[in-house]
Amino acid sequence: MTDTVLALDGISKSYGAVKALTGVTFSIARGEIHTLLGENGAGKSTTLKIIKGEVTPDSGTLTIEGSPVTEFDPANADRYGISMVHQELAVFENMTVAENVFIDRPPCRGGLIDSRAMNARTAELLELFGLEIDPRERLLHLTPGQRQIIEILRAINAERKVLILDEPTSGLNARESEILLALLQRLRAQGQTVVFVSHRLGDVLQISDRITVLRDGAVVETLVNDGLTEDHLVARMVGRVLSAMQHRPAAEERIRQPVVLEVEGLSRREAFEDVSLALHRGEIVGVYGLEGSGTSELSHALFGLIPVEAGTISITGEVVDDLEPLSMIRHGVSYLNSNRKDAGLFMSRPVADNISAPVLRQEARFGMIDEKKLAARAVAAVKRFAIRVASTDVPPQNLSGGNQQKVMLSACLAPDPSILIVNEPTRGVDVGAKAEVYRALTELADSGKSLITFSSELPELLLLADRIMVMRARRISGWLTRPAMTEERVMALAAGTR
Amino acid sequence: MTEATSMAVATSALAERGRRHLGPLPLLVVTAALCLFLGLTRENFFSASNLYSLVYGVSIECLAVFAFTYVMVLREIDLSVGAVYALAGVMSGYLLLEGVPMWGAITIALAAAALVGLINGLLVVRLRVNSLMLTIGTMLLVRGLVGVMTTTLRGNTFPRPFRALSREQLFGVNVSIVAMVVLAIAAILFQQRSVLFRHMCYIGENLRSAVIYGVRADRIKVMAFVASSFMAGVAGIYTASRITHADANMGLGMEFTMITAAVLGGASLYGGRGNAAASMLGLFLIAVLINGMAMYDIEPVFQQFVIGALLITTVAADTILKRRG
Repeated sequence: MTDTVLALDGISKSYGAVKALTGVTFSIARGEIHTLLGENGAGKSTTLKIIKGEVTPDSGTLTIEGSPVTEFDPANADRYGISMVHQELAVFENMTVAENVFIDRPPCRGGLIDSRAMNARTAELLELFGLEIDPRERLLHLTPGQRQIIEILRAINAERKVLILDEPTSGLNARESEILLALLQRLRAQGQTVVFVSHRLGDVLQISDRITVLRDGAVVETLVNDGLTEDHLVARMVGRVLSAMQHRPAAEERIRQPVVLEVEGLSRREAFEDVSLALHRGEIVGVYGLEGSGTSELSHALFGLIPVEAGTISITGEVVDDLEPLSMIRHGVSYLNSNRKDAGLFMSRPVADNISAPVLRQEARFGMIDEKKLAARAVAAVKRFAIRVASTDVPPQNLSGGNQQKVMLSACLAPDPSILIVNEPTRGVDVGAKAEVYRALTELADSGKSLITFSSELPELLLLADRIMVMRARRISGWLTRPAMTEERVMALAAGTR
Repeated sequence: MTEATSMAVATSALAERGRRHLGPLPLLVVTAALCLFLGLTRENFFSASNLYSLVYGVSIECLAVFAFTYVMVLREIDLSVGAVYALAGVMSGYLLLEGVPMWGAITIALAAAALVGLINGLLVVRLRVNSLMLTIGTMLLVRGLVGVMTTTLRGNTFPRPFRALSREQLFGVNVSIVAMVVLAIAAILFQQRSVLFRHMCYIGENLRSAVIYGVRADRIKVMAFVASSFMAGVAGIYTASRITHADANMGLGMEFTMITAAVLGGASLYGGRGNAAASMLGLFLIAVLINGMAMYDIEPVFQQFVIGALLITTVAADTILKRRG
């Protein structure tokens, strides 16, 4: 490449024992659309954070415009002219389009904001990209896609050297993402350098000049987008050696077991449509989908945490009338939340209190708690899952991520459920604890419990699940059963356009 | 793990609990120190009549702070307590003068108080209205009703049997003092052992976690708001009987005394903890402080200043502790 704007050379970064990046090397040429592609957790966001100066690498060099970056500081983005459009929208709903575009430096006259100039300039920008939006419209009245475009206009208006877009199309419908992609192409024509991060292979192939594929924190290859197909990309995104653990045998026999949970035609607007599935006794069903595919909403809805608009859930043949957590618990269902910082633990209450939270009522007599019983239960859980904790009275906030996860799992198992909805069971957990969690989940299934496992880590699902349900664009895009379950096939169903 | 290590885990658990929960001890020390200071510098502070009137005055507010504290444990707040207190007091008097029999009047007034709590609770739970703003609204609304009723009542003294209520004695002291002691003991037992209180702490600390584990968060919140209003109503009726006539200014600013007392007693604006018995001790500290200022001839206007400063200090301390914790 002739004119390099930005180059990474041998960048490595570890968080504690977890290696986020190892020897990442690639460069971005002026005026190209360069895509970073990889699974969740492949190292894309850490790479972006290093480019923006938010994270300091352990080793390696980052060169911007020919000079190596020595100090990593969030102000770098501004200093080196890098602009980022985030996954999460960062717009001001109650302000107008123009005010959102000119958030950092509105044009002023005599110390006051020159609204006329601001609106005029915004109108120019909007027209340039063929958008029919009034600059004086409040963001509140725009669609999510339009808001996303306004955010991009904000970045363009700042006239930065490099524009980074992180999953810009995940929240958009087909027409909106078409407009967005056209906009990016127009920007390239003007000489703008764009770094694009996306899961949507179709979009990636449509607009990229070059594609750098990351896997497990390392660069697999930087490809020139010339005659590439989705299969080429999928093959490079996956294809990892599975961990030493073996899957439990005889998956096909489980389908002959009775159905314990049956979901029919479950729908929720802007979340998922017409989801049906049957879970057999002793079976682990995995659910996979990339961000925005509706899997996270589905996991909530299955436990009654969010309402659905259509469809039914039956447990052992009986339709659950009131879909809310308490009635699901009474039907023998437990739920492991995906983000333990958010919900699932009481961070400042003793571990013993956390573990017995779902069964306090059963453990009490005349509404009075027997602390000894709670302590005994907690001690048993500490023993069962080898939770490293000084005492059962320590609050989870003092524990490591892996131990917190085990405490949460213990709480879920406290009511002795027959069905478990498990969401990201090993998020933020180190390798050793991961294996322990896998073993625990497999043992549960072996003892006749049924699990629905939602995970964004594909190897994890392939290891645990007997069958995998793949979702794309809020619908089931296919089912895969054990012998036919491969990373490539799952990824093709999740990211492909076929 | 062997039996011995399980024992070790259990023992160190107790030690940990002891270290983390100083509980209301600092509050007790401060209150005792203040009492001692006033007793040594002002000769009439330790007189039987002064101490008795202090305790008697506090005992009535204690009825209200009991349930108010539990609303705070749930990470909600009920600023309408003062207004509801006035409503129940004035309404029972109003009904009496309208010829309603005494116990009928009291029942209706308490039902009205509980209804305000029910409305608060349902709006918080169903519409997810912020309870701080909501109860400011109900406070103003109820104050309006109280104003209308006092205007029609102006100058009238309540009938004798109603006035006699507050003079009712049990074990040689006023009934409200007995009630305070009973409630304080009940609070301690409730907080130590009951499933319900533990559930309330779960809700206050992390509502979503509580819901995942099958806690009936909505029902418990509604119950707490009803209890808060009901207890404020009981205190209001008792006070009306004590002051013998309707007063529109009854319970004015009481909500702020309640928050100060509850936070002094270990409740947090961020929910998840609270101790109704310690809140009562907090009320006592405030009462002693006011009593002491009166003995030092400090202007009543300045007394307000001191209560304000105390509120800011306790709330700031709560926020700083929360951030560290």
